[in-house]
Amino acid sequence: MSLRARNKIRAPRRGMTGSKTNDFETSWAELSTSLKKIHTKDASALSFEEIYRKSYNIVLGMRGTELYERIQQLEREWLDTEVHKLVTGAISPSLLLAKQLVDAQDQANERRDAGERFLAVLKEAWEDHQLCMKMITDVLMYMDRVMSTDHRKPSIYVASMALFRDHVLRAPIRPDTTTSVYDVLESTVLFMLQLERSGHIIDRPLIRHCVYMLEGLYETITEEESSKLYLTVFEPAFLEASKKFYQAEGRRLLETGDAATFCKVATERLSEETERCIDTLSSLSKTKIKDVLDNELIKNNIAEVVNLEGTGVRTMLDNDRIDNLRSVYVLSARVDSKKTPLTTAVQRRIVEMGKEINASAIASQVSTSAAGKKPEPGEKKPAEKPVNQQTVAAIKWVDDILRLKQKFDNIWENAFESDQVLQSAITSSFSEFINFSQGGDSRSSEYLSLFFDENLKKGIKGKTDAEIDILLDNGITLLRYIKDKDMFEAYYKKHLSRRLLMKRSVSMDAERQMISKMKMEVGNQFTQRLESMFKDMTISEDLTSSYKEHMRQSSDPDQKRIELDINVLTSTMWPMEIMSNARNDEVQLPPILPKEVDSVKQSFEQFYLGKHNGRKLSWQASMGTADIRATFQRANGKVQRHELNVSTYAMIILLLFNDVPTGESLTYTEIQERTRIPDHDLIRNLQSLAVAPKTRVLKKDPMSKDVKPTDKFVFNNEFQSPFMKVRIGVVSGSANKVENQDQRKETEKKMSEERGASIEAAIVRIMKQRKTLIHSQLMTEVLSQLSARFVPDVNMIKKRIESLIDREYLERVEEDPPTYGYVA
Amino acid sequence: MIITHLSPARLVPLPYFHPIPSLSFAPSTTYLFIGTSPPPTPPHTMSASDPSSSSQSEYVTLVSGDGFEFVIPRSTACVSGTIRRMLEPSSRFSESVTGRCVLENISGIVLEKVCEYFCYNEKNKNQTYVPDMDIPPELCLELLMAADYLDA
Amino acid sequence: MMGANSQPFAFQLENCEICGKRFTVTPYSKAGPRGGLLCAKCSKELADDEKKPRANRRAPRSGRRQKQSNLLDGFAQPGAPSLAEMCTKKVADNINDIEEFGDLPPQLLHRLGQILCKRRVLTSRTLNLFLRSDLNFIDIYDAAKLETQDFEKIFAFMPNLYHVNFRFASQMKDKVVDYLLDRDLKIKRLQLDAANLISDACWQQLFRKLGPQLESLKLSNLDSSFDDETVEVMCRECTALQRLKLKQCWKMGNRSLRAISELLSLQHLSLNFVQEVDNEILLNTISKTSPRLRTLSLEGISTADDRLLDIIHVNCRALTKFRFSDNAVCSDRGFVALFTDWSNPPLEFVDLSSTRDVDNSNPDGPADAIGLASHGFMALMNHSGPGLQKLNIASCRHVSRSAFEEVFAAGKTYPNLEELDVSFHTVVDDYVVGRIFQCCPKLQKLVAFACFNLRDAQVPAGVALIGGLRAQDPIVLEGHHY
Repeated sequence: MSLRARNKIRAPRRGMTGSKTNDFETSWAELSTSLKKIHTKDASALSFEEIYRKSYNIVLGMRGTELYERIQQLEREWLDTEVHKLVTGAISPSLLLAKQLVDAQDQANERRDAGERFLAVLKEAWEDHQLCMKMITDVLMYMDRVMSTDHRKPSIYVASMALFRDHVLRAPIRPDTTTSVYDVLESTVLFMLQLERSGHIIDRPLIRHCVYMLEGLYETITEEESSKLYLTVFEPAFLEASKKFYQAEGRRLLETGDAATFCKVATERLSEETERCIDTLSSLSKTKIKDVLDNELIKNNIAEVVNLEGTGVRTMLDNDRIDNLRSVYVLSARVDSKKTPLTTAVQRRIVEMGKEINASAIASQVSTSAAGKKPEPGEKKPAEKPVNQQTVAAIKWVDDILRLKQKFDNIWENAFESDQVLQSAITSSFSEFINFSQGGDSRSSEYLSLFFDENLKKGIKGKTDAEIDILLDNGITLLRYIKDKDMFEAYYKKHLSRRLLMKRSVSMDAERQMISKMKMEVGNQFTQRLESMFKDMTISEDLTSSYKEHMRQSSDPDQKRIELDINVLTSTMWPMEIMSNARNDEVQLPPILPKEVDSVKQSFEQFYLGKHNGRKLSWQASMGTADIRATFQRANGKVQRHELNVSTYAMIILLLFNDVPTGESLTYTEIQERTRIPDHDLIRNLQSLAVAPKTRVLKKDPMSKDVKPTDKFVFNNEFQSPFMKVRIGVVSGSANKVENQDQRKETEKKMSEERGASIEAAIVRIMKQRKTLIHSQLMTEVLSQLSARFVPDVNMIKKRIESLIDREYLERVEEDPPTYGYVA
Repeated sequence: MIITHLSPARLVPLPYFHPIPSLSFAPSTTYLFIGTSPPPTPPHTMSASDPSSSSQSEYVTLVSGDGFEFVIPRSTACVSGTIRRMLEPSSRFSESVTGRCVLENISGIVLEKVCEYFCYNEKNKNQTYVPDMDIPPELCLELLMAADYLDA
Repeated sequence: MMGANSQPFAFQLENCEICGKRFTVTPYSKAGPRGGLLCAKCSKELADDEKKPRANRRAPRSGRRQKQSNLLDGFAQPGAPSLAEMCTKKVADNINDIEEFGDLPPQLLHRLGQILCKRRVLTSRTLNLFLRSDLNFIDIYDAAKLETQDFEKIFAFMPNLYHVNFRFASQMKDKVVDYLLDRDLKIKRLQLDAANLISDACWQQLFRKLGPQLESLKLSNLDSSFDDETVEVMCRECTALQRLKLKQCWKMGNRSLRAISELLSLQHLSLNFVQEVDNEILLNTISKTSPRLRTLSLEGISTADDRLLDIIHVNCRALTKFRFSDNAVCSDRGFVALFTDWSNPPLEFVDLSSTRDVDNSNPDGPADAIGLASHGFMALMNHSGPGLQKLNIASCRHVSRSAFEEVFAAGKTYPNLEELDVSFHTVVDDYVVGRIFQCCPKLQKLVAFACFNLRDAQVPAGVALIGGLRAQDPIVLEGHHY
């Protein structure tokens, strides 16, 4: 900008401000009068501009610092005299009693009233001071600005707040005592809180306002957040008092001995204290008071609460007190991410209840085996009824566990907020009792397999797909808990084979569904053999029909043929006891078949071996059935025909009687010689043909239930049945049922052999890959490889390693640490 | 009067309006109306003893030491920290009750410029580019003093 | 110019294409709409016509140039400046027409002085405006135009002086100091810059006379005056000294540094040595003075190592301002140790610029980072984040991008940070800058020179981003236009 000649610029008129040094006292006198008027709430006659201008002139006259000092002095005097007098005047003697507890009701009421009066006065004094100082600061803003920017002094507002702190709050209430106004304030507020905690109603907003004061005052002139009086003096006292209160409250609640009450009160206290922080005290204390509650009330007592006799978690679980359990859970979760006492209690109860279920299953077994032994010692066949009861016990066992599971699932979902920690605790407890074996005798695998067997045979009749699905899923859930899955597999295979061969399955769809569920749950390897059983069944069907076709083409169509349905089973995939002809290590000769049947057998063998060279067929007569047409010559000359569905052995026996003249008999020994049916099977078959009341095709002499070698059998022409087709089952031979002790031992023996083989296979697999490995590492790897199928016994692994070393598959490479090498 | 460049502002000269040269002789009232809101009730119709009407009033009166009155919107006047506190409803000083601020040590001619600045400040609120406001050099020192006094 | 060849030469006579008048062609004659020449009057009218639309085109002046200029000064607040600021500038504009300042309050005088000095118009004449006997302070930020007698005049007219601050005071000579000492002034704060003509003897005399009353002494650019002996005298005499700043005095060395350790009232200490100083002496001086220090500023002390940081960590309890720049010895680990579990409250001002390894063949520095690097930066922000107002970490080149992301992660806030300098941090990009804006609600100024990955950051209103590429481009373009 060019500076052309111009009028000289006027300086602001000096003297307009009229401030000269000797005017300071005059101005101050006027100012102080005005300021006092502000304090006495007499400001509406005052002109802001006038006061402002006076202070402005003083500051402009370089007397700002002095003015600032004078104002502080004025405030100090005002607080010392007027405000202090007002506040201390409201302190009644009852407030000075150092009573901690609300003992006498009258005294408490008196003290509360006195306290409220005092707090109201203090609150009023504080709010007045704030309001007046805001006005004074506003009106002296010019001074304030200059003082804080040029002289780095705190705002007069801040300075006067500090004056309030020192000259009102921290001033002794009387010259002769050290008790300060603040002390009375603190004890009064804590007293009020105590009252409220014991159920009285107090003036919350009043206390809140007094807390505002403590939040608005600072220890330092720089007013750091952390130096609020509320935080430096009041909060510690409040927390200490709360700590004491909740320690006592915890003891009191435990004494009442009711866990539900404890939880209810604790939960209420929690929300109550949070609310108190918001409504009555300061949000600053929210987390700290929660910590006090968590530590003093909950953490210290939760274990005792959980275990309270008669009301604790055990009782809650037994009575499905979902709400109570939820409270316990919520409280536990606050103080301990592991919720240890709760988890332990839940686990303990699950195992207890589980063992009860185990025990009741075993009890029914014991009673049945006792009953089974009664009729004749040394007799292998248990009576039919108790056997069923045993199976029923097994199924009940599964049902009971499922019910227990459902109960805890419900609790877990609704009370424990689907908590992870509790879920795994519950799972491990179920697993614990399910796999718990008394004297190495866990029947869970067998029971579970029987459960499936029962359902697949009968249980699912008339059920919808969805229902079946749920049923199977329940079973699968239990399977999850079973550690020795190989054991289950063995039982399942056995039971499945019977279902398949005897066509006892209600639905093949359900069977397949079951397999795929197991596959999902346990893996491919587990179901491989089961699936191949199904495959054998379908191949056999094709085989049967192609054989029929072959026969029709190759032979005389007029000739009456024996129809043959055949199942060719791959020997390794099916249960051993079905496949083996050996019983008790004796080689059993095949039974002598009737001519016509034998020719069919040979014809099929020819057909089959012609198709599959190099295979060996071995016939399992014990597993087959036959349909025969029987003609009964009544005494009155009438002829009655029935179609009989019998086992293969029964068919052989019955055909013998074709060659026996009417009315003549055969003895047991004769029958045995002519058929070569094993004793065991023969007895059972004869029982069903001659003893069972509805299927008595043969008559036995004498008429007893037992079959003795000397018994005579004769064809019963008087056989009566309301049905055209009669099914004659074999006594206890085909039904899947709980094994007796001997069978179990055998199963276990087989199992242990199979496991040994699996362990060896695993060791060799691992070592082949790793070449050398330390003992402990090898153990770990074997355990992890096999864990899906069963939990291998460590000693067994050691023995297998020894055995592999003996057989020179492995060698010891080093002793410390023991290390093995793979011998190629 | 040289306030025409406050372009969006609608300046309504009143019959009492006096040009600068006559200032020293006839103190008067100047109404500055900004925006499209209707003119307020003139101050003299308001009852000074009725604080509610003044605290609700959108307009306040600034009075110079030599008696010139300027009626401007309250929000505009509050550009000045001093006037804002003066009018603070909670403070209960006489100015907040009457809505009338007598600024003893500011002359009419300076106060007029101050009012112009208030409008200028309002208008350019939150603008990234602000055109210069014309300040006559001969006024600049006095205006500086006034600015300091008014915290503007 | 090319087209002009076909036109008649200057000083030729020609008929105007518009009005037909005959006129003398000048180099300024304009071409008409049909290519002919125009007379002076018609030329002017045409020019005016052309100008108007052009002026209209530029009518909505965005004031970009002014804005960028303000930005470089760190002003980015939207809206009008305060009336006081506008008037102050106006007064400065018309300073030569002003006879006296009257009752102008001190804080306005101070601001005026700043503006005048920046404009380099503080002369003997304008100085007179500032000489008021009732004032007890004087700040002249540029005294280069003042003569010896001007300084004497100041001391003559202002008997109450207790705060004296002259920068670029090259004419401040022994004679002036002698005069000052004669006047028996109650100076408590003395700041002199570039007063390099004052002899050591004179300095010593000054300290003997004023020493006990001095509370603040700031001397800079005294070049080859002011030697070790003078410093020793100063430290002996100025026993009440709370604030000491000594910068760019060439002769000062180890003896000076040792002497400073004897100043027992020091609360603020700023040192910038030209000579290399002995590390042990430095450690000794800092360990003696640091427990009381509120300000510690050490610039260009190239020998200082992690032990210095350790001493600060152990001793300092009241530090609010900490500058330690231009050092290539202290390690990141040292900075981590300094800021981890430090009993000192959060710092408000931190300048650790140019603490980094300098080896151009290995720009990433050694694996164990030198200078304030990623971990040190995180430790610093962890410790001082809540209190920091100004932070300068320019050229701390080993701070990684992930460290920036960590420090300015979502949810972190630095509630008081107003100024931040991250110049020469090439890892700082639009994303990081965005995070910085998110985490620093009070930020007013972000200096980011040579942050080459900063391309198109969204700068919030009220924040000045200085040195970002985008911020500079328009300035260069406008420079071409004008």
